[in-house]
Amino acid sequence: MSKAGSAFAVFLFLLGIYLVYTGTANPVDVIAGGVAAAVIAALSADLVVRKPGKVFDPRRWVAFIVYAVKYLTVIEARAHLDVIRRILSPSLPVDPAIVRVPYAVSDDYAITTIANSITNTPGTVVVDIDTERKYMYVHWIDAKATEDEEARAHVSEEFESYAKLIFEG
Amino acid sequence: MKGEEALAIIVSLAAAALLAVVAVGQGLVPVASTDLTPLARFYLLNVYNGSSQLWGASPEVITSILWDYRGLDTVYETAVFFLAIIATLTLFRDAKLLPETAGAGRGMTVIVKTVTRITFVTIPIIAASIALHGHLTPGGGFQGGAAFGVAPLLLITAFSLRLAAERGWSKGKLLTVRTAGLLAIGLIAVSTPYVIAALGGKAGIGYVMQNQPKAWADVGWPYAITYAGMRVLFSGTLLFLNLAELFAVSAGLALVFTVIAMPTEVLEKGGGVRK
Repeated sequence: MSKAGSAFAVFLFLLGIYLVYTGTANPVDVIAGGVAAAVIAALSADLVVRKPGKVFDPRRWVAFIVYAVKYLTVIEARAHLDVIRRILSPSLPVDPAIVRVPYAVSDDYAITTIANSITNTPGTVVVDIDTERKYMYVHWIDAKATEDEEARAHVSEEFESYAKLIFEG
Repeated sequence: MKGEEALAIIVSLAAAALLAVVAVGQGLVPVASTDLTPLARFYLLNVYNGSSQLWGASPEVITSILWDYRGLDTVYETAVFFLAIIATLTLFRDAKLLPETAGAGRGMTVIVKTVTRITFVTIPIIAASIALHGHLTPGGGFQGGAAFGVAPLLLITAFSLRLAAERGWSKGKLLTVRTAGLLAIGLIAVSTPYVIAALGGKAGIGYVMQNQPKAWADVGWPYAITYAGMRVLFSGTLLFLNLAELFAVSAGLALVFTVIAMPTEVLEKGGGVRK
């Protein structure tokens, strides 16, 4: 059952992408896109979704939307303004370092969400990841802390709490 | 220090404003001439003009040129492309894609892999859209197939060839899809009189790669159907040629990427080359 559920989740996702990319939603495109999406989902859905129950869980979607809005507006703006201020200041107030940031999630999507959230905000970049010991190595333009847990509080705690709500379990 | 900071900000903002004025006001690059060449005028006036004997039944000029006006040229180009692929395969004719010889299968970090899982399924759906709308908007079978080719390339790079082998990719399967696509193009190329006869029209003599009727060869594919009050334009042979080319190019590129990603010793053994 979980295999069919995975295929259905991926099918809906791909059909949505097809219709958005094509820019029309007339019945012919729904059929053509549906056939293409069904073929791809039947062949490759197991690569993308392993537990389809999570895809159809509304609480995860609420958490996802809240996080997406907050990340793309408040968090991004804050990080951009911080880096803009550093660039424009003639004294160049940077204190770069690579810090070790632990994480406590185990789902691949959750790990990727945290890592990409860190990298996509200006000022921090994930340069490597150790999945066995659960560490990310983060280059930080202004390292306010070098100790593991302190660095985590600054860099990834907020991302991780949302990633847990959206993907973990 | 404060004064310096303020100066730096003012200078930056002034530079940005100047750039915006230049970009919006007169542009940074010369714009193409609005005078059309006679050839461009011909295509634009005829390609989607139902009263013209030389129309292509498609609003997409490029696709019409590729598959209709100069259709034979594209068939030969496709043939050249596939000869190149066949030549590549001949070099490694006995190299087999097996999980146990396809490398260790470690691949890149979990971050790259997870993103690749998503793009691996979204790239083919975009490719399908590019090919299926090739007769309406910019795109087509070759473009769709070229876009599709990125998907196997990403999977092989991010996960290693081993995953592809374990998921049942084989040279035989890819070759079958590629050959079916090529065969379909060949059949469509000579199909026009037979399609007319099959649909109950009068038989006539048609050209190779003929899409719409001409005064001197009065056979042509239907170009649209009306169903439940809705008209669906598929532009005769164009949609089907695009679809066939999508499969042929997708499988052809996947085949080449798979073969050249094989470990050296497998290729050396498969090529029958003595060290």
